[in-house]
Amino acid sequence: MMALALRRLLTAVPTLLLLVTLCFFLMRLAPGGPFDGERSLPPAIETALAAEYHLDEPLPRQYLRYLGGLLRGDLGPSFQYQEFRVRQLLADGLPVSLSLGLWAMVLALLLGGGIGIVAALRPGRALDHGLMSLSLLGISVPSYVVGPLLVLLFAVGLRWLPAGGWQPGRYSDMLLPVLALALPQIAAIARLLRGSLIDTLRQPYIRTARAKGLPETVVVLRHALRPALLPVLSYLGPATAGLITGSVVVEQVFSLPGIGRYFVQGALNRDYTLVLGVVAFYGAMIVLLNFLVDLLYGLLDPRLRQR
Amino acid sequence: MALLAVEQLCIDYPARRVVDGLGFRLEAGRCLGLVGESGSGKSQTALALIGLLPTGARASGSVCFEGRELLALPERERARLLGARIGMVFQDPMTSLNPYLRIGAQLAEVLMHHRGLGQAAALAESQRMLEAVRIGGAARRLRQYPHELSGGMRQRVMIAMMLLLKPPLLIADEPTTALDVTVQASILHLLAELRRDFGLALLMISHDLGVIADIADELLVLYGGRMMERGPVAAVLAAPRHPYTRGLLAARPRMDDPLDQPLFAIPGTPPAGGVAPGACGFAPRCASADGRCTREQPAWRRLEPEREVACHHAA
Amino acid sequence: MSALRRHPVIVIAGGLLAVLVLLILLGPLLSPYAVDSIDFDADWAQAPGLAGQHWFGTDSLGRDVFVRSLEGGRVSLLVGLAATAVSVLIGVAWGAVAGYFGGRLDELLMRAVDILYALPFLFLVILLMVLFGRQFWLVFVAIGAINWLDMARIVRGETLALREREFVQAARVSGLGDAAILLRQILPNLLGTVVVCATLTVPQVILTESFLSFLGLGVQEPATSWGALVSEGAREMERTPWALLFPAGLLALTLLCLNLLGDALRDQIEGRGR
Repeated sequence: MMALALRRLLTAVPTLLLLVTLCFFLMRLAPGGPFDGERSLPPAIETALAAEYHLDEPLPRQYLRYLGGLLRGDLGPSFQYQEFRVRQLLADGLPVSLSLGLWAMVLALLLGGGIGIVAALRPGRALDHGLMSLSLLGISVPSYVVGPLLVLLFAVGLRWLPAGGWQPGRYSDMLLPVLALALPQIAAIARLLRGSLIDTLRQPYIRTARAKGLPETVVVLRHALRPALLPVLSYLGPATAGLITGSVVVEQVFSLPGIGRYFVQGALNRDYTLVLGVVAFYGAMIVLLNFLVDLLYGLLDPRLRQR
Repeated sequence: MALLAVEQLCIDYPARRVVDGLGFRLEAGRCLGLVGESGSGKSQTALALIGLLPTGARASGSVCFEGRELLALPERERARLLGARIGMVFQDPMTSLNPYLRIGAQLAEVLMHHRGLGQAAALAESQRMLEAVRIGGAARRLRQYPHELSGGMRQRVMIAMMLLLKPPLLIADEPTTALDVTVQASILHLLAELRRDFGLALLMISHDLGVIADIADELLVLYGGRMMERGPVAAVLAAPRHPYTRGLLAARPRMDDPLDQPLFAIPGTPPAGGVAPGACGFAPRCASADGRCTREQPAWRRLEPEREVACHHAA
Repeated sequence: MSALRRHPVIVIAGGLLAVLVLLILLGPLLSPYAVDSIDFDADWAQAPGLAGQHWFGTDSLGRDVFVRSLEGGRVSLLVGLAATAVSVLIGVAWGAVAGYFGGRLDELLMRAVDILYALPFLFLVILLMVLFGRQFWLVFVAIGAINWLDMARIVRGETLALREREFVQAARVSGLGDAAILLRQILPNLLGTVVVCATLTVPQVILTESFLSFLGLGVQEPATSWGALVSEGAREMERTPWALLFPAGLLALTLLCLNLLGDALRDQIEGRGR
C-alpha cells in the first residue's frame, strides 16, 4: 500500500512540475510584455515596472524565483490588480468555487449513481431506455447551455429562484449553479455505472450470492456495487477536470465571485501571473485528486492492495 | 416421500428447447449423478432447480422439493430455501467467490441473513465449518480474500459456505472439473464424507463417468436435453443398455488399456441447440440406429426394477 | 427499410445530422439577411414566427437569428471537422508508431500520453489564446492538439493487435519495409476504429470551441459560432429568449446526433449491436 502511494506520488510531482514549467516558458515566449497596453508607457516607468516584477533578470533566474515562490505557496503578484498577490485572489474565490464544485460532485455521484443502478436492474426495459436517452442528452448539453436555460426557466420564467449572485449560506443561490454544473456529470456517471453494473451482475460470484438465498437488494448493494463502482472511481479524475472547466462558465453565467471569474477576467486582460497561477492551481487540484483516486482504488480492490 | 421429485421438466429458450421432459427422484441422504456431455442440459437443469436460469429462459413441468412446488414458488419464498435447505456448488471456484469480500464475510452473511446471527457468532460458526471441510488455519482464512487461496481451497470454502445451514440437499455442478487431478480426488472424498456425516442428499452433475462412479448411488444419463438411461451406478456401468451410455463408457481412458491402442470416441458431435422432436436424439451418432430411430422418439420404459432406458433397441 | 430496421440509431441519427448539415450549408441562402446585417424595417427583438421573414425572430440588435444560428453552426462544424482532422493526424501517427515499433519507443510515447492526460489542457489552450492573441487558426490547432490523446491510445492498442496478424507477418517476411507495412497494411485496417473515434471527437471539439467562444476567447466578432451565440443569447435572455433557445437547441441536437452515431458505430464495430 505504501509502495503504491509512493509510486503514484513519484509521477504526480513531475506532472505538476511539467505543467508549471510549460506555462512559465509559454508565458515568456509570448510576443509582447504584460504591460503592452493600448497606451505605451514612458520608458522609465516601464523599466521600473520590469524591475519590480523581476522581469529584468535572466530567464532561468526568473524561473527559479517563481518555483521558489510556489514552494512557499506564493504565486507572485497580479499584473492587473496590482495591489494584490495572485494567492490572495485565489483565496478570495476559493470558498465559492469549492462549495460549488463539491456540491456538484456530491449531487453527480448520488443522482448519477442512483440513475445508473435503477437503469442497470432492468436493462433493456422502457425505464432503462428512457433514462439512458435522457443521459445521452445530458452529456450532449454542456453547462454553459444548461445554465442559461435553467435561468430562463426557473428565474426569468417561473421566478422561483434568483438568476445569479451569491450570498454565503443562502442555499437558493446555489441550487441552479450546482445543478447546471452537475448535470453533465450526472449523465456521465449514470451511463458509466449502468454499464459496469450490468457487467458485474453477470459475474459468476453474483450467481453464487443469489444461490445463497440473499435478497436482491443485498446482492446488488453488497456484492455487485463495489466492483461496479471501480470504473466510476477512475472517472473521478476526468470528472473533476470537467467540473473545474464547467465552474469557469457557470460562475460566469450566474455571476458568482469564484476563481473561474478571476480566471476569465485575467485571460481577457492578459494578466499573465493570474492566469498562470490559476492554471497551476487547477492542475494541482486535478493531479492531487488523481493521486487520491489511485489510493482509493487500492483500498477498494483487495487484489491491488497486496502488490 | 422423495426429498426431490422432478417431473416433465422442460427448459425453453426463445429459439430452442435445451431440456426436454426430465424426471427423477432423489431420496434423502442418497446421491444421484447426472451425466452428459456439454450441451446435454445438465447445468441448465441445476439452475432451473434453484430458479436461477438466465433471463429469457423458461422452465416448465414440476420440481417438488420437501413437498413444495419450486417452479411456482414466489421469488422471496424460494430465496428462503436457497442456502438454507438447498446448497449449490458451482464449477469454477476461481470466479464463484466474490473477489472483493473476505472469506469470513461471505460465509458469515449466510448465517446472519438466514438465522439472524450476530457477526461474531456467525464468524465463529463459519470457522467451525471451514474446519469441518478440512481447511487448515481456518481463523486466518476468514480474514483472507479469495485470490489468496488455491483453487482446491476455494472449492472447499464454497462447499463450506453452502453447508453452513446443514441443508438436506446439495447440488454440485461439476465441482471438480476446474481443479487438478489430485485436488479433484480430495474434494470428492470430502463430499462423500460430508454426505455421511450430515446425511446430505447430493445431486452430482458431471461429464465424467469416473467421478459419478466414485460417489453416486444412482446414475441418470442425459443427451441433448433428454434422458437416455437411468439405474444404480454399479448395474449401469456393468451392463449399460443404451448405446450412448456404452459409448461414454468406452470413451473413458483406463489405466489397463494398451498404450498403443487409440482411444475410442463416439463419432460425430453433440447437438448444439437441443434435439429435433419426433426422433431419438442420439440417432445421428448411433451405430445401431435404423429408420424407426429417426421417425419415432423412443419411449422411456422400465426394463427391470430400477433400470429405465429410452431406446428402441434396448432389450 | 431493412437498413433502418437493422441499425435504427445509425440511420436516424445520421439522417438527422445530414439534414442539419444541409440546413447549415444551404439555409442562409434561403433568407435575404446576412449574418451581421441589421434589419431596420423590422422591430428589434422581434419574436419568431413563420409569417414574417425572420423565422427565428431577431436578436436585440435586430439581426436575424435564423441566419446567425446557421452561420454560427457553420463555424462550429468547421472548427469541429478541422480540429478533429488535426487530432486524427497526431493521434494516429503517435499511436500507430508506438504500437508498431513497441519496446522502449512505445513506453516513451505512451508515458508522454499519460502525463499529458493529467494536465488541465483546456486551460493551456486558454493560456495560449491569452498569450498569442485570439487567432482563428490557433483555435483549430490548439483544440485539435488537446483531443488526440484518446485516439493515440486506442490506435496503439489496435496496432499492437494488428502487428501480430498473419498478413502483417507475411508482409514482413516478404521484405516490405516498416514504413510500407504501416501505410499499406496497418493503416487501412485501422480505418473503422479511427472513424468511430473521430465521430466521437467531433462533438468534443465542438464543445471545446463553443466553451472558448462562450468565454469570449474563441471566435471573434463579426464572425460567430454557437458558443458565442449562446453567450450573447444568455446576456439578453429576458428580452429575446429565442436568441438563446435556437442556437442552444441546434448545438444540443448536433452534439446528441454525433454522440448517438458514434456510440452506435462503436457497438457495431465491437460486434455487440443492440
